[in-house]
Amino acid sequence: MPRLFFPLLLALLTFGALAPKAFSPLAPGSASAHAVYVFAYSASDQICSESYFSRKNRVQGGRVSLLSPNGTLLESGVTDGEGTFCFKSPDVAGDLIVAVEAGEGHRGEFILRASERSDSPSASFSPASPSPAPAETVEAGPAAAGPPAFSPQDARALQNFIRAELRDQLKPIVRALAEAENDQSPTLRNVVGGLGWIAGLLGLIFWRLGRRRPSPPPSRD
Amino acid sequence: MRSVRPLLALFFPLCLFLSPALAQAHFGVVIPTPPTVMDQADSTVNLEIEFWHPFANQGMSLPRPLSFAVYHSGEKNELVESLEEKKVGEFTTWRLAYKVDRPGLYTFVMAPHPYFEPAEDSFIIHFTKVYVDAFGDNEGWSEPTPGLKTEIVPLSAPGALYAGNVFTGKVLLDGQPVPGGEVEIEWRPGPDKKGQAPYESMITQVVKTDENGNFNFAPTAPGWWGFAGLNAADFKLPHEGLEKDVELGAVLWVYFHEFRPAVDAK
Repeated sequence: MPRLFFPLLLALLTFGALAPKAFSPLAPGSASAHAVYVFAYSASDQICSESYFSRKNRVQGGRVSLLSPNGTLLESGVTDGEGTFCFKSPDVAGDLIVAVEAGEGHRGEFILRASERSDSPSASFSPASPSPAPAETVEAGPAAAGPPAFSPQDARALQNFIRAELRDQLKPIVRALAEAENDQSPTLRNVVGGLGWIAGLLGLIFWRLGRRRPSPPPSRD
Repeated sequence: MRSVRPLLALFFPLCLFLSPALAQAHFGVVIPTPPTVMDQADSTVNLEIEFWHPFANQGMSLPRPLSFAVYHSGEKNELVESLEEKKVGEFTTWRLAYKVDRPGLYTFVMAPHPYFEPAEDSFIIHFTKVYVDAFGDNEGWSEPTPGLKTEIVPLSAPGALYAGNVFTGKVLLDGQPVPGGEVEIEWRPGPDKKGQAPYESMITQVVKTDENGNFNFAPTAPGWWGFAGLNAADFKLPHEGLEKDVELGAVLWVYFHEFRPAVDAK
């Protein structure tokens, strides 16, 4: 039994230590034996994508494409170390398709549903567009009759201005959140989970070994 | 007198077998539809929460649970106040529409108030769990759920099973494997359906855990199967002035997909 036990334990520990680091799209780890996935979401004037084999195995240097529902290529890019890439929001309404190619024929696709989109085309935002000029509104005072005339263009420009401003202000928080989420250091949960795995696998091995020998019947009923 | 004693000794165990209440098991039930989220078009998971005899489709009432929580990305969110009551016939059940908006494993856990079962003269507490994979990410399915008193931890990825596959799970109580424990198993035939068993004794199937707390089971039909790892609690609860035993159930619901025949490639 020890003859089997130690090489297996060693193999497990070695794999555990090496697997996350050894991964790259062209020499994929074991996880890429499975499918590759891509997820996308709206972020103000961007469509951001995350590509992964699993949460820990991100697609690095994979080619991501943004396509219209009829398959027209709108934009493309390459994923970073976290498997993410953000597209400029396209001037196309409705569903969008995000596809990732991770080498060796690994391809994943995701439909970003129109109902889940909250982005607006970045092209429509330009600093030169007529501003609502808040100062004028204030000067008009309470005596001004009726609400200030507000064209749809003004509204959209204001909306975009607020979006851009919010995004800039929130950037440090978003980054901190992303860093917290992507923290690579093993948490207690990971450690316990890893131990659980080892215990589970060893359990299976022992169970298997135990089955080979006729064991005395259990004393309890 | 001497001849009566063995008869009595036989009588009581027989009572257990003959008792109809034991022929079908109680199950805490948490069923998500769809079982897996892959398309944003159906990313709202509709959860049915009940206390039921699944195979026979016989209802019981479930008061508002003590807790109904979702675990995702290492965070726990309590949702019990969002549950909506739904009467099924005369029985109280609960519903929740939960929007899944990120990839990853969503673990739903229902903890009910202790239920006193007169037929068994004991309390039953079924901690009931189900997993939903979202957008291809199922990381963490083999890890214990933090803070859960008792649970079945899968050793087979719960989101990728076909009917006929062997399912392996480990029964944990206070984080420790339970060797020689009993796991009751029932199929849930679906809404307005009940299963057909040749004998009442085949409504609930039973497997035992090995010395490491692991068990195996291969379901014969597609659909939802409930696994209940049962243990006696190390505490008692009062009922009408008397201290009663408490049965702790680690219930896990697993969906087994129909295995379809191959089609021509291209």
